[in-house]
Amino acid sequence: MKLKPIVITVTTLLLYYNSALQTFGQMPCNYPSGEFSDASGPNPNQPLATMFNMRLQLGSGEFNGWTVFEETASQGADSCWSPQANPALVPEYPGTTGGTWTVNNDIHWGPDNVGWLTSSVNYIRQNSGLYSNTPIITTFPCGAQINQAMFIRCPLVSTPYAYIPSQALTATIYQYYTFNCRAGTCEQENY
Amino acid sequence: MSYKIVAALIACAINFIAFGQSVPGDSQAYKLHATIGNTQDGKLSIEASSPRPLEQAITALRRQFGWTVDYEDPIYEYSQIKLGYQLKPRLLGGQFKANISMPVNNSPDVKSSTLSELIQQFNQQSETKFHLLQESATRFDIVPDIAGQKPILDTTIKIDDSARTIGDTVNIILSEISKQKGIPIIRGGLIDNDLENTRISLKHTAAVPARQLLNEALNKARTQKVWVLAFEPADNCFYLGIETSVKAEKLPSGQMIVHPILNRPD
Repeated sequence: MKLKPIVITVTTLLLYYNSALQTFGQMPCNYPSGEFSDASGPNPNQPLATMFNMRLQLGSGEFNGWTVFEETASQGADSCWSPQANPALVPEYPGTTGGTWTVNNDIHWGPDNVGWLTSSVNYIRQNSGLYSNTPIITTFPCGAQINQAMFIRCPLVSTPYAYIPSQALTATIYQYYTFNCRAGTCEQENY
Repeated sequence: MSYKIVAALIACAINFIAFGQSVPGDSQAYKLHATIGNTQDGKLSIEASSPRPLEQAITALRRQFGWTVDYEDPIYEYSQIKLGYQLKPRLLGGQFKANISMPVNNSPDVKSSTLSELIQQFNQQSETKFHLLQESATRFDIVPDIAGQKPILDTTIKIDDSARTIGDTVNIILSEISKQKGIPIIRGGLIDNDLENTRISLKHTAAVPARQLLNEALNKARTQKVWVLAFEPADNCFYLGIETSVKAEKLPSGQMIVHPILNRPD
């Protein structure tokens, strides 16, 4: 009978300890160590952009239902941009676009879309040195680079965990196709 | 307005023939970016030089302070268009310098007075005038103020309340304006996950201004979006670019990082 209060106290302390660890993002979730990107074809509405679907690494089923989201790790760059270019078609500082996804089938999430809208591809080609001797777009082929950070949220922990602090997404425009890459996995979209 | 474009083409063609390829303004050097500095009397100095100098100034300002400030072009008059290679029309643009009060905080009132001061000084220096609309506590729109020309996003439209992605909703809004006004308005830029993946439904029983619908749709995204609607004289149409609204910060290492402005917490 005398042990009971002690057992309760230890259990309570453990609960507080676990709660504190959870708060600081150290426990009790096992996070993925990275992910593989699979190019999955063009976006049905924007055929010059590519959809990528991901498989989390070191997955054993515990990520099902977790949320992943993207942030901009650092400012991106766009070699198509010039001060004369139409700002609606050629952004100077490309960045991530607030994507958020739920992990399903244990380790899968997506699609993450990478690439240019068709109107911008047409404008950039038409105003490059391909068709003008005083081009607005002075570099061609040219492209945008986005520096993406990936976060995952374990349902037991309030603070999201950055499982990929920074990786490159690139979308390059050539004369007859676009070439879109996510962390080194690429797909060509012809147009 | 198409007759004005034709008139511009004829006027500039004569100019082009007379001066060969040295069309006045063709060699104009624009600034890469608007520069923002502090004056000795504690004001904020802004210098821009671009085909759209106000837009260039606004871009620098909104990124420095993390504000969401949208920009809408007018259909430009022929006097503001030059001819480039193969008689392709381009905007002349120009320079713009302003000294405005330093914003003391990020309150809606301070944003409003800062932007109003900037626009007032722009209007004193430019043929093309603009005015400010406060759309919400966080969103401000700069729209053209041209006699005899209503801003294109003032067009009142009605769309049904079907659930769609934000991207599809924006495309329908643009298509409705195009149908009414007979001028194409097309979305440009890079593909946007937030717009592709978020499904929304806009419910209005009557027609409302397209700007209101556009802002309502974008306000439902996870991150705050900022838009620029830019007239393209070469195509005689408008393009709409949508980006995530950010606050840019330069680290001591020189690296630039950006903080997205969130509409809703993660």
